[in-house]
Amino acid sequence: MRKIVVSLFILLVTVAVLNIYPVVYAEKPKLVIWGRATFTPPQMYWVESKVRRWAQEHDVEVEITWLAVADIGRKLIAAVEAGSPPDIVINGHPVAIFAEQGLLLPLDDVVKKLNESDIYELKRKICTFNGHYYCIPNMYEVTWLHVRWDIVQKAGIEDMFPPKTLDEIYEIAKKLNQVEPGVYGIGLPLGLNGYDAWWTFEHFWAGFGGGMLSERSVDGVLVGKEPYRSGLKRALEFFRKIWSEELTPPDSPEWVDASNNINYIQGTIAMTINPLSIYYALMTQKPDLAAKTKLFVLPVAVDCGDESTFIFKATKYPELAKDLVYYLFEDKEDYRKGFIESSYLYGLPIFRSQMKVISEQWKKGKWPGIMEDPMKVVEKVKIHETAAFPLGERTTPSESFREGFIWNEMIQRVVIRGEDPDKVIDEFHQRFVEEVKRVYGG
Amino acid sequence: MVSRRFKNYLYSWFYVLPTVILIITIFIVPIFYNVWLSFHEKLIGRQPVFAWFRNYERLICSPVLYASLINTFIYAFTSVFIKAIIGLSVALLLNRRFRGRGFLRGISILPWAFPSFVCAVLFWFNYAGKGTFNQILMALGLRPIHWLGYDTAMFSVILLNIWHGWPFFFMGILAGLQAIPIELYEAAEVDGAKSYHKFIHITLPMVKPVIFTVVLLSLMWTMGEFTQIYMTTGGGPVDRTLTVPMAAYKIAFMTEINLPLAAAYTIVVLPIYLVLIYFTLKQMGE
Repeated sequence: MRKIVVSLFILLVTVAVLNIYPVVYAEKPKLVIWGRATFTPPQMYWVESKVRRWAQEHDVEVEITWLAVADIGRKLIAAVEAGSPPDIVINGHPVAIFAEQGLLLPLDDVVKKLNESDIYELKRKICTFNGHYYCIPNMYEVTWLHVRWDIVQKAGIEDMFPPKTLDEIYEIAKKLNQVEPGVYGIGLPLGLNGYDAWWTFEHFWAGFGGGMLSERSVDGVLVGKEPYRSGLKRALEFFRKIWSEELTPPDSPEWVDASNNINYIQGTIAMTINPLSIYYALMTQKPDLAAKTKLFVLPVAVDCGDESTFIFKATKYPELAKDLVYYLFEDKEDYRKGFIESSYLYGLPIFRSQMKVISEQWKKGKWPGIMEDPMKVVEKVKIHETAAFPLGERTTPSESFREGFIWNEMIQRVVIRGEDPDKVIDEFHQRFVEEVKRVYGG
Repeated sequence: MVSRRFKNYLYSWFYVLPTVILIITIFIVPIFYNVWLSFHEKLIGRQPVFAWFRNYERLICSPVLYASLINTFIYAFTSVFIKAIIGLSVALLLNRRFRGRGFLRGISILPWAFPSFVCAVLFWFNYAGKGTFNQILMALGLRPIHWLGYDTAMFSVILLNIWHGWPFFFMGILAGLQAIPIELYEAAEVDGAKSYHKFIHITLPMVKPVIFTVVLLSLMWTMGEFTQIYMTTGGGPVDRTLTVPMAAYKIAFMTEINLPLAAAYTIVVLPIYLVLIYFTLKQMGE
C-alpha cells in the first residue's frame, strides 16, 4: 500500500512539473544560424555582434556555429538530408542546390527594402532563381594578382605590369622564377580539394573563350563543344606548361585554400592570384611584405564572393529570420565599416552607394598597394565563381561540380598525370551532361 | 521449476534489453535504411524515387570502384605486412632482459597512443617541402622528395599508417611471447636446439594465433582508415590515395553529392569487411 501511495505521489509531482514548466518558462523563439568562417576574422566578429544585438533587442535566442570553408557545403547537405537544416545561413554556400529544390525562403521583400537598384546586378543575378531572390550576397570577393614588387624590380620587368593578356602571366612567371633562389615565379593552386584551384583555373577557362553552360538543359552544356572546347583545352595546356616548367612550387597539387596565402606570406612565390585575404594578412601581420606588394587586376577577374545569406523554408520563424537578415544589411555604412573595411577590402560592398565611398577612399590613398580603383574593378568583373558561365547564374550542376571539386580532378588529370586533354574534356563534358540531365531532366 | 527457469530466462532478457534496443536503433536500423536507400535515386531535399539496381549498375561501370578497391588493398596489405614485421621484431627484442627495457617498452607505445588526426598533423610537418624528412635527406646530401606528390603519395600515407599502427602489433605479440612457457625453451636447449630452431619451432607456432588475430584486426582498421588520408592527401593527387572510406565520403558529399549512390557503394564493398569480421571473430573465439 505504502509503495502504491509513494508511486502515485511521484507520478502526480511529475505531471504537475511537466504542466507548469512551459507556463513558467514560456519558450523563447530560437534561431539556429550557421556561418562560413572567413579568412578575415573581423568579418565574423561583426556578424556575431550584429546578430547578438538583434537577438537581445527582439528577445530571441540564437545559436551561431561557424564552419570551415571546405566543410560548410557538406554539412549543409547532410543537415538537409537529415531533415534538420539551420534556420539561417550567413556568409554560406551553396545556394542553387537548395534554391532550385524549393528549400529556401524567397527574400524579394528584403531585397526591395534594401533598395534593389543599389545592389550590383551581378550580385543580384546570382541570388535569382525563377524570378525571385533567394539570398543576399554578402560581398564581392574580386581576385587580384599579388606581386612581390621587389622581385619584379630585381628582374627589371616593371613595364610588364599590369599584364594585358592572360598569356603574359606565363611570361612574367618565367621571368620571376628563381630570381631569388627558392622563390617560384607563380603560386598556382592545383590541389584536389581546394576551391582556389578551381577559380584560378576559371580565369583561364573563361578568359581563353571556354564555356560551361548557356541554359538549364542538356543542349546548353558547352564544355566540350567547339569553339568553347578550344578555350578549355588552351587553359589546361597553359596550366600544364606552368607545372611542367616548374614555375610553381612542387607541392602545388596538394594545396588547399590557404596554401597560396601561406606561400606568398612565407615568401616562396613571387606572385599569386587571390582575393585580398592575403593582403589582409600582410597588413595585419607582415607590414614589411605588404610594403613590397602590389596588387593588379587580371585581364579577366573572377568574383569569388559566393558567400550568401539565406533562410531555409523549414524555419519555424520566417518573419524573425527575415528581419534578422534585413538587420544585417540595413545600416549600409555599418556594413561597409564592419564587414568591408575591417577586412582590408577582402570583401567589397554589394551596394553601389558604399562602393563609391571605397572609391573615394582609394583616391585619397587609404588603400596602398592596390593599383586600380576598386569600383572600376568591380564594374569590370563578369565571371562569378559558382555561376555557370556564360549563363551568369548559379545552377545546381555548376555548384555541385564546384563543391565536389570535380573540375579540380579534371585539372589534375591533365596537368599532373599528363593525360590527353581531349579525352579528359570528352569525359568531363559527358559527366556534366549527366549532372544537368539528373537535375533538369531531358 | 519450469516457471522459475522461465522467469530467470525472462530476467536475463530484461537485463540485456537496453543493449539490444540500442544496437537495433543505432546499428541495425541504419543498415536496413542504407540498403533501402541504395535502391533509390534522390535529389537533395527531395523524396527518394525507387530506381531498382541503377546505382549498382553505375558503380560497377565506374572506375572509381575499382581504383578505390585496388588502392585500399595496396594501402592495407602493405601497411599491415610491414607493421607485423616491425611489431614482431621489436617484440622479440624487448622480450629479452636488459637494462632500460621498461623504458623502451613504454616509449614504443607512444605512436599508438596518439589519435589518428594528431599523427596526420605531425606528418604534415615531416612531409612539408622544408619539413623534417627533407631536412634529413638534405643533411645526408640527398635531393629532397616531394612526399605527397603523384608518385609518392601512396608510399607516404602507408608510412604514416605504419608509424601510427606498429605498436599495436608489438603489444599484442609481446603479450603472446610472455605467455610461452619457459620450460619449452629449456627442453629445446637440452636437445641442442639453436636460436633459429627455437624461433621456428616454438616461438612462431605459439604466437601464431596472436599474430593472426592482430593482423586481422589491423587489416580491418587499416582498410577503414579515413582520418589520416583525409588530412594528408584527401584521396589525391587525382585518385592516387582514394581508398574505400574516402571514396564513400566523396560520393556522398563531394564528387557526386549522392547519398543513395554512396549507400550502394558501401554495400558493394561490405562483403570484404564481413569476411574479415568473420575470420577475426572466429579467431578470437578460438
